Amino acid sequence: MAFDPLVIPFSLGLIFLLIVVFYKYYTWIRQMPKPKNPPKGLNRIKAYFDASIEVIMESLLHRKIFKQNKLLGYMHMSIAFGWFMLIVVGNLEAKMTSTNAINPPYFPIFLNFFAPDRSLTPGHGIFSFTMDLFLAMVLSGLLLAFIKRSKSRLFGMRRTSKMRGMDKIALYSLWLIFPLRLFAESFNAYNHNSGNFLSANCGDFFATFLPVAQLEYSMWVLYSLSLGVFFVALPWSRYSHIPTEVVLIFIRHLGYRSCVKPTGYNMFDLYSCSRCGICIDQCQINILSETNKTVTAHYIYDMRVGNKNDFGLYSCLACGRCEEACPVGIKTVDLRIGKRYSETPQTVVKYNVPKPLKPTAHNVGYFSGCMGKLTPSVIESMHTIFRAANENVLHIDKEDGICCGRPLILSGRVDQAAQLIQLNKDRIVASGIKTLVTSCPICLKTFKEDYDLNIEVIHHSEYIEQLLETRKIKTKFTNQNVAYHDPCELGRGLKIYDAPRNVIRNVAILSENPNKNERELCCGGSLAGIALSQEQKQTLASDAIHQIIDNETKALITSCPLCKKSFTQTSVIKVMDIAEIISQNLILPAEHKVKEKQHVQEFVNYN
Amino acid sequence: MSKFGFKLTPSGTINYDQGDFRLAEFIDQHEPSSRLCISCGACSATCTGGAFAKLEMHKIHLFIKRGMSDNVKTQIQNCMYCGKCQLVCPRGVNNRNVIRLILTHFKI
Repeated sequence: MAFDPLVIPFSLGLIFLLIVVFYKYYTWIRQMPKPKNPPKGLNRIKAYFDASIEVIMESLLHRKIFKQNKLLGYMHMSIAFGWFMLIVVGNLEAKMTSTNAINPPYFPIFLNFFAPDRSLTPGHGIFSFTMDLFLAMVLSGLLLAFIKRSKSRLFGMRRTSKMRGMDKIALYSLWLIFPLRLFAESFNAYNHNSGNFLSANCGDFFATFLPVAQLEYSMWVLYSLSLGVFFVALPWSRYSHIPTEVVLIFIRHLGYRSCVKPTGYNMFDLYSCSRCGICIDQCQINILSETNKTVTAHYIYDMRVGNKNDFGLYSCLACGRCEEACPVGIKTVDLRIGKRYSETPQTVVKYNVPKPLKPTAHNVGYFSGCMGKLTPSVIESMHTIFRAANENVLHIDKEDGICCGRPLILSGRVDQAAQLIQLNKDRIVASGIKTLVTSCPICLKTFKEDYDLNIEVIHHSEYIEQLLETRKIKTKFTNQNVAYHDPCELGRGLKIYDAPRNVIRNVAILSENPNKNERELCCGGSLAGIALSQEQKQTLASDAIHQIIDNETKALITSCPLCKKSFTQTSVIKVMDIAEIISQNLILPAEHKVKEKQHVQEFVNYN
Repeated sequence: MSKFGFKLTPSGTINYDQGDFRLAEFIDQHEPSSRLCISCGACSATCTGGAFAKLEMHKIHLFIKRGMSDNVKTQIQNCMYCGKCQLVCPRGVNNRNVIRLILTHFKI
């Protein structure tokens, strides 16, 4: 078996890396609860197949980053895919060269050192060309990475992540690996008169001014050392994403999901972050003065090394913009809520149980939510729409309205939230309704995800869309230009983008803003942003408004009472809920109008 | 005073010398907006949690400032975190953070 002392740093690093990585993964997998719906039988094989495809597309080719910016995508792809191919092709070539059944793992890496003359190996020309090609590819990526440190705007990024702690050691050793490999290979090519377009030409060039024959061995030693140092630093640096991301993709396909309570899955998420910095530009907290603390890429670093970062933890709006942009698909919101959960001792409180609702014959129930209480015009408009459609609706939280529990979940008090969820669920089930309409997306998300209700739960924009489709209500079209704002919980949270837009198009001209759908800005009032002051929230709101509206816009439409409330405080134009704009443009029969006035008066008196 | 038939009942006196101001200082440091509270009671009027358990935010602010931290402890756990108190507050006090800080201070 071929051996030389120069392989020792590489081999020790690799053994160390494997032991650490396997030990970590073993403990995390043990901490994961069993998935609710694991794929079985053929689906399991399909899951493995899909995961493998995703590994190739995302971990190697970086498709999602390509979609964002071609140059950035190429930079990531060239290093990941190029290096992977170097390993694969190098292994194949080593197999062809050696007569041994099993080669030690260092043999393909230092193949040119151990077997410099391989001209008799079958396919030698192709092998040496591909190896040079992929090395050139990696080096081009490395050059781009170097340029990116100072000219990040070329790569479509205004801000990039900064190197801290162990990352520096890992980064510098990574940067050294490939130039050193080039030196070693080109010197080797000159000394043995081999090599291809890259190594042979470089070898000739270096030989003009360097004592190549004497330097070759030391280059191999340095190459081995840089690999060894990189492997030792890897598990504690951002490059731990290289092995972790692959495992994450597999466990995701096998049905494991993250939840608000921290599990082993969150650890996989945490260590899959490469701190590529794509999320940095997405974070709205950047416009406030305290920039670095909240941004997910920086926060994850603090979380990994155990730095205390209370502002970063409690100022996050949980809007999910970073989660949407993340090329790895890390559940950034759950990571933070999980951290809040682990920092908060859980308590159970004695609440006076609200009066139970009597079973009614109503099919539809309406839940206006806590925030709805502060925007009575939304409730009033919804009642107008219900009456216009002749729907008999039970207003569930007209009296004794209890919170849905989502705000408690967002603040990390999950057990107390479970108590509220039980109280609320009992009320809803007792009322015997078939459909639950809510005008608050925050409530809607909890109803759908945490309540396990056996009834249909829809947002009021979806409900109005149904009424318009079945022609139960009629509206008149006005020629006013309006903009629509996607609330975080409704848009990114529940992927409801079309229903509100279809509704608005019935009554007004909808002009879209460049940040629509997944990239929509948060209103700043999010219940997750506990540590943000009132002024900071208003700064976020006014910044968001100015990006959403233009000079033509007459009104800003949203479908969340909390967004309405936060925008109204700073908006220069009218802010309306989707229910309000519909109720204002309803076509009602004459006798209905008289009744409507009485109802409105009653409502005003009640409030 | 006693001449006129008035006297101060012990339960109504606030003894600043015996108060525990650690909580007040802690909150003052981390959430300065709590100083703005004028105890108008808008928060307590709108409180969702207050309808089902004892929780009066404006009194909590008063108790903290008077150094009567024990009175705060039990009440504060009833909060449902809905954030209405913050939206109705005329002074822009970040009540949710105040509650979070109280809970961290007492490690509840």
